[in-house]
Amino acid sequence: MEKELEKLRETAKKEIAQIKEKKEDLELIRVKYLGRKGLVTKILRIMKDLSPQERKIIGKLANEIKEEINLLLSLKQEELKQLIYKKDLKEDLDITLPGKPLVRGKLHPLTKILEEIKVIFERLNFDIVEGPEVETEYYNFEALNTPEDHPARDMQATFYISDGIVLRTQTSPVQIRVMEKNTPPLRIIAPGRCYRSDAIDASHSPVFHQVEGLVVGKEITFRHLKSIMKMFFRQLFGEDIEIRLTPSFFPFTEPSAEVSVCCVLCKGKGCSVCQQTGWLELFGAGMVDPNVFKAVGYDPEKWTGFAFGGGIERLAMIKYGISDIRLFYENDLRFLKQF
Amino acid sequence: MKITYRWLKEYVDFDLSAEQLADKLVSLGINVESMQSIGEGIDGVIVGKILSVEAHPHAERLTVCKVDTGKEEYNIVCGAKNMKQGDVVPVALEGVVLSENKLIKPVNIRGVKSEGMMCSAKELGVSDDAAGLFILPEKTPLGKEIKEVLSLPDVVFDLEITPNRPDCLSVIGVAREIAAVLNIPFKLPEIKLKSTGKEIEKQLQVTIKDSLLCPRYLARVIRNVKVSSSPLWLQRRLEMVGLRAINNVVDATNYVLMELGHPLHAFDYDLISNHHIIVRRAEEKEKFGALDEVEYTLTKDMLVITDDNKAVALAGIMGGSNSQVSEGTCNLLIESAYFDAINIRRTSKKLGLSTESSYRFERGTDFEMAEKAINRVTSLIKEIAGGEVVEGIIDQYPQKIVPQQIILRLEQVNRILGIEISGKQIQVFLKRLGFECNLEKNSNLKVVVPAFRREVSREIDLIEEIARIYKYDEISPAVPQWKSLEYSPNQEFLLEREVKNFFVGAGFYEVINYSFSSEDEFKKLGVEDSFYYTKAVKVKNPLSREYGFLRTTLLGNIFENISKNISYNLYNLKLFELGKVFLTKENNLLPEEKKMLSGAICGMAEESYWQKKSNEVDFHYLKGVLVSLLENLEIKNYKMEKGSNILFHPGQSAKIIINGNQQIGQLGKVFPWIAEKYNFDLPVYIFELSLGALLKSQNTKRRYLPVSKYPAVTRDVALVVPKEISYFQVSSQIKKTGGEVISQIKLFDVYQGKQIDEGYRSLAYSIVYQSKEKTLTDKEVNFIHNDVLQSLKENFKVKIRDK
Repeated sequence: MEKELEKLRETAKKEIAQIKEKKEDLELIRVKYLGRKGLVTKILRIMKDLSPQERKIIGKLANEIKEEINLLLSLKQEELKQLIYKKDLKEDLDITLPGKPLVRGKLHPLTKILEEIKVIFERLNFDIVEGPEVETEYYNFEALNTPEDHPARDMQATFYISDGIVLRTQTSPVQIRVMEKNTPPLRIIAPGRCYRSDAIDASHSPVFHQVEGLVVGKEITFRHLKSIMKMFFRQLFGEDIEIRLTPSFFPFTEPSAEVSVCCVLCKGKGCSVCQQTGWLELFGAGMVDPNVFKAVGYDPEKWTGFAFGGGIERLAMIKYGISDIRLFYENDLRFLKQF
Repeated sequence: MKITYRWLKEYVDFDLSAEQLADKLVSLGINVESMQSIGEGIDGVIVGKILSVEAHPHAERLTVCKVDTGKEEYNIVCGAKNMKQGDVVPVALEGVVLSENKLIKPVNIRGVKSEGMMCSAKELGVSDDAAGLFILPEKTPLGKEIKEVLSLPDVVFDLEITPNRPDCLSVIGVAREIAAVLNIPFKLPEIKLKSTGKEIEKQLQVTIKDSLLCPRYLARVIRNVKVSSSPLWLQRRLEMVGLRAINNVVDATNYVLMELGHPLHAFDYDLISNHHIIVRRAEEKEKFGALDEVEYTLTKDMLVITDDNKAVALAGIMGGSNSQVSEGTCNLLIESAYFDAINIRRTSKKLGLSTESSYRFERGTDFEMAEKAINRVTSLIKEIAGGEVVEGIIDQYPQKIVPQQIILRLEQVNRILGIEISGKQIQVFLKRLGFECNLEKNSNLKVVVPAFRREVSREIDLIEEIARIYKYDEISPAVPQWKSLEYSPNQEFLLEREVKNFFVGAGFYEVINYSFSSEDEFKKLGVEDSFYYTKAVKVKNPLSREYGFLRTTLLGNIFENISKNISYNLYNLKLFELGKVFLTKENNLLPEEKKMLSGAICGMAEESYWQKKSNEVDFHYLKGVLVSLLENLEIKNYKMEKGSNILFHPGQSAKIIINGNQQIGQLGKVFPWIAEKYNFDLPVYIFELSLGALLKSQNTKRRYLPVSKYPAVTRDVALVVPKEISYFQVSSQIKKTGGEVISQIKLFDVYQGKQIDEGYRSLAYSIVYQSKEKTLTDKEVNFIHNDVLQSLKENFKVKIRDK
């Protein structure tokens, strides 16, 4: 029996040594010798039939062999692991082959810039609201201190739907709708589509987007307007941008101002985009005209406020270096892919 | 409005360069749209006289001229045709550098020596006239530098004057502003006219029949004028500010219009019947032949200037051809009036006739300037056209206009502007702008508005004036110290963000289109009988046919986007738009504005890639996207029903339905006829969803459901199903029979063909069984699984395919 055991030890040793790659073979050998029905196990199982003396010797030997096989197996396993690592490390890819293209679209640049604008004003504690695009003349003009015979109406070529109904020429009517429904203090921006019957060219589009802002409160002054404009444009175009307010005219604000930023392209030196002036006029703004407050039933002696607004396309054109407004509405994939 | 640097400087002696002046104007609220330098680089061009013009011996089109510059004679070969012997012209001799760095030197042109060049106005850069040589007046001194003759160089400013500043529609108006901001004096032009007699009353009678529409009418008569062309300086000035020189009388009225901002008109005195001017409303359908050679039909709201027989002018807008000044005119009647702004505006709008004159009247003119202007123009005409001014002036001014007074509460200035400015400073500023100020006992300021600032009528208007002169730049920004306001989140905007990001993640590009549609588009889509057309909102005055309606679907524009991109050889497209459609609403002033979410896909699902070629998109690809959107929004109780509306292929489209019967959208292949019209040469799949419906049915609350701790058992089975039974029916039956123990049903193959009987198809499912309470035994799973199969056999005559 001893001999038999010694033979098993030798064959197991040999078999283990012969294993080259497969990890599974280790398990086969373990089962063959040490498994429930394994060759060594079998011997251990029949030991109860032996004399105590023999049992002692054989038992010792069998256990010794069992341990040795286990040891060899684990050594072999380690060896195989190393081999696999080595082989794995030799695997070499052409990492310059193209990766799998991820299927992903893009937001339209107008949406992107509008998102930026919304985020800035949300940070400044403004609410975001919307209003109808088909408007009454009352909201689009009259309530905004622009009566029918006012020459200011010439500033905005208007599309009519029927008598008294227009496609809004500005987002300003939202100011009126919001004030009618709420009591001050108020802080809102109202982005949206506007319409003007201007002939289409590189800087005019019959459909365009504006963002409107309105603040009403106690002790709101022109200085606050200036500060909000500064914060907004600096967050949009960069911390070092200069802004300038110059007098202007809008029927629904008084005093009114044109808000310009130092040309982001030439840094104020003068170029074709800023028409050599060094400045880009971007927003109209001003203190809410008392007549507008009266139209919505606010007491101008109690409340003051400011409003501002401007075209979103123009902001996007400057920010992204787009020279023709029509590109926004052509939806050419080669354009859309760049944002 | 155009104005020149030199002209402005005649009235206000500022010490600013053209650029500095432009900056100053902008800071006052007068926007400079453009600046153009005129007559730079014409140094050395001098005046010469053509002594002879002879044909060039070797070139038909050229002539050889002898030119006298006062000192010497030169031989110049010339290509122009408009000159003759004796003409005085600009001459550029050797060494002169003209625009575009053109150096003049003696040359030989086809065998004839040419010692210089005679110039056109364009070559001098003074106008666009390149038709021939710039012929100067006969008496221009020879040898004189042309830039002196033409008062050059100069800079033309194109100014944008806002509607609230009619006073700035003139040179003196702008000069007054500059003077105010620089705190220097400005002067009005000198008027040399001493004529105070009553003679005029014998020669002219003026009757105002409607003094509301014409509060003031002034007239003068000048006899024995000589109508001819204006002196060069006057012609040049008008040309520089964009007006055409006509004759000395008309030019003088235009000059004073630009100078003082008050419109004037000169009639031929002898063509005014009975020398009687009547200002009255027109009769209904009265005809009027204006200077522009158009006959206008008037209404009784319009104001006309007539004589005893006929209308001679449309008040404040245009004179009549029946009384116009022409070469034969000898005696003049000069009109200077003050008309009601709104009436002029309405008439001008109604007739579609806008002039320099109506432009100013409708914005508001200065009733005091009317008098200065008539005296100024009379004196100018006398100077350039000769004649004798009839003594006296007619001034019909029935009700003297009282200047406006405004009470300014000083504390209001600081309340609005946020600055601290003293009452004293305020008075200084207002006075510089021409306002009279009186401090009252209660420390309010009583302000009298000058006649040229009629639009300043309220306290707030004065505050703006103060801010302008204080300078906006000097008002420092102050961060508002306001209390936070609380807003509830706007679910619609959040959904829009979510949906847009979803589509971008799914590989779609966002498009933005105009909100317009057109008759042609509705026809192209074949929707004339559907709500798409019947509920469309029409634009009364569209830019063109193309934009005649507001859109009722986003798909029309998206089809155009697809077809355009295909024309650029871009075939793999996934586009979406989130935008409004407009539908008329019964008994409602405004239409319904409905936000829609639409899109289209075509071509390959993914970009092809070296390891794997991509598949073409199809109905189920798009369905997968939309189902994923619905699931993303936690909309669970949706179903799809076959068929959709007229834009879709009837057999390859579906309605998306929630809550049993509410349709929220549709998807499918484009109707073949439409696809053909848009030249789609590959299949295009489209969808339309109502954002409002998504908003209502979405579930923004997320609750965590614990995952089962017990093992899952999967059983695969191939079912041979009669074709008329849908996947949906089979799956529902499986779920119904299996109950809660079925945690997932997955279809992994659909097959028909060999081995499958005609009229059947094979659906291969993986069904996952898993309990939340215990480990299922094989026996239990088999029991349920058999139950499931049995119910399919019984209900749908399904056969189980052997593996």
